[in-house]
Amino acid sequence: MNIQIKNLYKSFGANRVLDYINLEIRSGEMFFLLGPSGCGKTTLLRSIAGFVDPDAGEILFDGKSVAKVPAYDRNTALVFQNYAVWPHLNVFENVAYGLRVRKVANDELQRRVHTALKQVGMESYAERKPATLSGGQLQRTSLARAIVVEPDVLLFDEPLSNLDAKLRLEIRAEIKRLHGELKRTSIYVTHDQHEALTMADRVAVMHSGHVQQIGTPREIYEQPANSFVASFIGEINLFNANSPLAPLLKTNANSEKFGFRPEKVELSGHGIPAKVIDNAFLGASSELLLETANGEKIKCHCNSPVANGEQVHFTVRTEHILHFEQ
Amino acid sequence: MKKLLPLFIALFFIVFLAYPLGSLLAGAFVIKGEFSLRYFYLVFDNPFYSRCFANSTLIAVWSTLLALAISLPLAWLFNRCEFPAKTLLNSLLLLPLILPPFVGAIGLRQFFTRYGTLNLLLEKSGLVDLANPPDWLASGGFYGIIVLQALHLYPILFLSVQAAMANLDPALREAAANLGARGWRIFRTVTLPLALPGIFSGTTIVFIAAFTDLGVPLMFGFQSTVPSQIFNMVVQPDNPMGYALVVLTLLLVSLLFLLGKKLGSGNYAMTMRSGSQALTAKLGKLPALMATAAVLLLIAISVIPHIGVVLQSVSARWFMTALPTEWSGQFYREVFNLDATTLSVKNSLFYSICSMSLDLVLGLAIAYLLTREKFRGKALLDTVSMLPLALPGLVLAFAYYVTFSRHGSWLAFLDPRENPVFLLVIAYAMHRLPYIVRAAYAGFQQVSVSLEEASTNLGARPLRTFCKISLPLIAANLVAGSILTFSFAMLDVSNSLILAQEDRSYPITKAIYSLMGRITPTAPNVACALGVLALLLLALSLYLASKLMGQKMGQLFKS
Repeated sequence: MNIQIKNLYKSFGANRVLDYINLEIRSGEMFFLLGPSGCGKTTLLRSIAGFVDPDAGEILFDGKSVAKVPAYDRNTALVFQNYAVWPHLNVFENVAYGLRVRKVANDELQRRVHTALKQVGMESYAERKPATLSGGQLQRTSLARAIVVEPDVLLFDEPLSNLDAKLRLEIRAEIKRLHGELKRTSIYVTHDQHEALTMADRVAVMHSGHVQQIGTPREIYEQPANSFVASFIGEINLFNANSPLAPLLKTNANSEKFGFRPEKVELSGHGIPAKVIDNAFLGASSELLLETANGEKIKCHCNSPVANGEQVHFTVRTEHILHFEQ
Repeated sequence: MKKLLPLFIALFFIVFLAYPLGSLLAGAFVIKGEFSLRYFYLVFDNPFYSRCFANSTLIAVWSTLLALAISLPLAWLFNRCEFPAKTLLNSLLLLPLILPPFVGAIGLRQFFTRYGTLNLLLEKSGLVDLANPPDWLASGGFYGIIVLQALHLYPILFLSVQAAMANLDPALREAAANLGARGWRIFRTVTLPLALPGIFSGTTIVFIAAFTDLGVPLMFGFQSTVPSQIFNMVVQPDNPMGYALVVLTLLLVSLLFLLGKKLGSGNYAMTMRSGSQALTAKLGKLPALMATAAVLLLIAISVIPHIGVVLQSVSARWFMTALPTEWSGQFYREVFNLDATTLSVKNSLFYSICSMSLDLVLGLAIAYLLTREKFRGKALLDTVSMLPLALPGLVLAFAYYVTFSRHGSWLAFLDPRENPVFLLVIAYAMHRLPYIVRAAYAGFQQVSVSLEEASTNLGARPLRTFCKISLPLIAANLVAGSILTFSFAMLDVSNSLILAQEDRSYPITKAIYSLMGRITPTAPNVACALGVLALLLLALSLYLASKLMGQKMGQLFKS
C-alpha cells in the first residue's frame, strides 16, 4: 500500500512536533524515519497508526484520506519499543488476538499463528507466558503478532532499542529477512543511523518537526542535503567557509560551510601539515585527532600506529568535499 | 457512553458531596438570609460546649503523641533491622487499624473497670486494694478513649513513616557515613529531616481521626466530646448548635489538612535513586528475638480490647474474676434467633453489597478517566474523588441527614426518616470510594498504555480492548478494592449510627449500639457475639484482599 503524508501539522503547546510534513511511502518499501529524540518521528508514526490526531494536513492510504478512520480500522500493525506483549495471555493467544478480532475461523487461525511463530523462530514457545520470556523473545512475539494479521502497513517504533547489542543485530537481520519475504509496506522509526543505513530502502531524516532529506541510505550518506544530515549520519569534519583550511584544500564553492568525512582524509608524505593530538585505538583501525598550525581540528582514520605529538601531512580530494548552505 | 460517564460522575459528586456540604455551611453561617458568625460565639460562650471542644482536642493530642511514640521506633526497627518473622509481623501490624475500636470499646471496659480483670490481677499480686481500687476509666472513660484511639491508629503513622524511610535513597545515608557521620548523627541530620513530610502527613490523619471518632466515646458513654454532641443533635434539625459544631470540626480538619499538606509538601522520596540496596542490620540472636517479642507484645496489647469482646461473647458468668468462670455459646444462638440481630446482618450485607457495586462502577470509571483520558477538570476530579478520605465520616453523615431530611425537597425520596436505605448505601459508597479509585488507579498505571494501543492497533474496538486487555490486567486490584469497600461498609460506624434512625433499617453497628443500651442482662453479650461475627467476616475479607494485593495492600491505607 502506498502512503502519502500531506502538510501534516501537529503541536503540543508551543512545541511544533510536526511542522507541515510532506512524504510519500511507496508500496512494499522499507521506509525509515530517522532522527534524534524529539524530532517528531514517533508522533508521525503514531499519526499514521491513528493514535495521534494531527492538527492539520492529511494522511492518505492508497489515495484515500484516513482522517475519519479510527485506529482500530486502519489495518496497520505496530511493533512497539517496549514490546507491549500482553502479560495475561500466552504467546499463542498474543499472536492469535488480531485474528480473533477479525473473526478468522479456528483451523485457519491455528495454521496462521503457527506459521507466524515459525517465521520468527518462536514455534516452541507457543504455550509460554510472557513473564518467562527474554527481551528478544518478547520482541519476536510482538513481531509475529504484527505480521500474522497481514496488515496493509507494518509500523516499527524503535523495536530494537530495548535489546542488548548482540540481540539487536539478530532481530535486525530477522526483520530485514521478513521484509524481503513479505514485501509489505513498512515504516520504521529509529534514532540509530546504523539500523537505517543497513535496512532501509529509503530514509527520511527528521529534525525538529521538519523532514531534512529523503533518499536512499547511500544518497543521504554521500550527498547529505545539509550539515545536520551530514553530522547525524556518520561523522564529518565541518568548517565555516572562511576557515583557513579552505584555500589549502582548494575548495572554491561559495557555500556557507564545507566538510568531509574522516575516512576521506588521506595521510601522506605531502599535503597540509598537522600534529596528532589524540589517538583512539578501535581495533581494526585508529581514530586520530589532528590539529593544524591554525588550530583547526580534524578527525581521521589511520591503519598504522601513530603516536601522539607526531607530525603528519594530510589531503582530501576535492570530489570528497561536501558543501552546505547551512 | 463516553460522554455520559463524566456527566454521571459529576452529578454524583454535586448531589452527594457539594450539595450537602453547601447546605451544611449555609445552615451554620446564614441566619435569616444574612451571613453571621453568631452560632460560633454561642458555642464558645457555652461552658459545656467549650469543654467538649477541649476534651476532643485533648483526646486527639494525646492519642497522636502516644501513636507517635509507638510508631517511630517501630518504623525504624522495620527499616533497619532484620529479625525473625518480620514480614508476617509487618502484615499483622495492620490488624489494629482494621479492627474497629467501636467494638473494642466493649471489651476494654470489661478489663479496666473498677472490678475488672486488670485490678483483680493487680490485687492478687498485692498492688491494689479492692476496697478502694483505682479507676482506670476515670473521667467517664477519657483515658480509655485515648488508649483505644492510639492503639487503633498507630499503624497509619507506622505505614507512612515506614514508607517515607524506605523511599529514601540509601545512598544518602551512605554518603553521610562515608563522610564520617555515625548512627544517631545520620538519623538526626539525614534520615529524620527527609522522613519528616511522611511523619507530618501521618500525624494529621491520626489527629483528625481521633478528634472526630464517634463510636468510642459513645460506647464509653462519654458525653462531653464534640462527636457525641453532634450525634445527639442530629435528631434536632432546628438546633443550630449542631451545624455550628459540625462546621467547626470541618474547619479544624481543613486547617490541619492544609497544614499537613504544607509541612508534608517537601516530599523528597524518590527524587533520585541510585542502584544501591538498603542495608539492614542483621541483629544478633538475642536482640533479634527481643525485637520479634516486642513487636508481638505490641500487637497483643493492641488486640486486648478485641480479645475482651471475644471472651464476653462466650462467657456465661464473669463477675469479680479475672476471666469468665462459665462459658456458653448461647449468645451466638441468640444472634441468629433475635429479629433485631438477624435483620441487622441482612441489612448490612445488602447495604454493603450495593455500596460496593456503586463504588466499583464509579471507581473504575474515575480511575479510567484519570489515567487514560485528557479533559478539562481532571485535577478537580482527582481532588474530589480523594476528598472523602479527608472528610470525617461524622461531618458527611450529619450533612446528609440534615440536607435530605428537609421537607419538600425534590430529593425527598432520599429522606432518611422515611427510608434511610438509599442514603446509607450512598454514604457508605462515598466514604470508601477513594480506596477503590486508588486500587483501580494503581492498576491502570501498572498497565502500560501501549498494551491497550497494541489491541486497538490490531483492530479491537474500545470496548473489546477494555474487556479483553485492561480489565483482566487490573482484575486483582479491583477485587481487592471491592473487598475492602465491602468490609469497611459492613463495620461503618458514623454513617450507620447517624443515618439509620429506625429499628427496621439498623445495620450491624447500630444494632450493637442499641443492644449495649438495653437493660436486659444478656444484651451486652449478644452485642459482643454480633461484634465477633462482624470481626470474623472482616478478617476473612481482608485476608482475601491481601492475598490479591500482596505487598501493595499497605499503599491503600496511606495518606
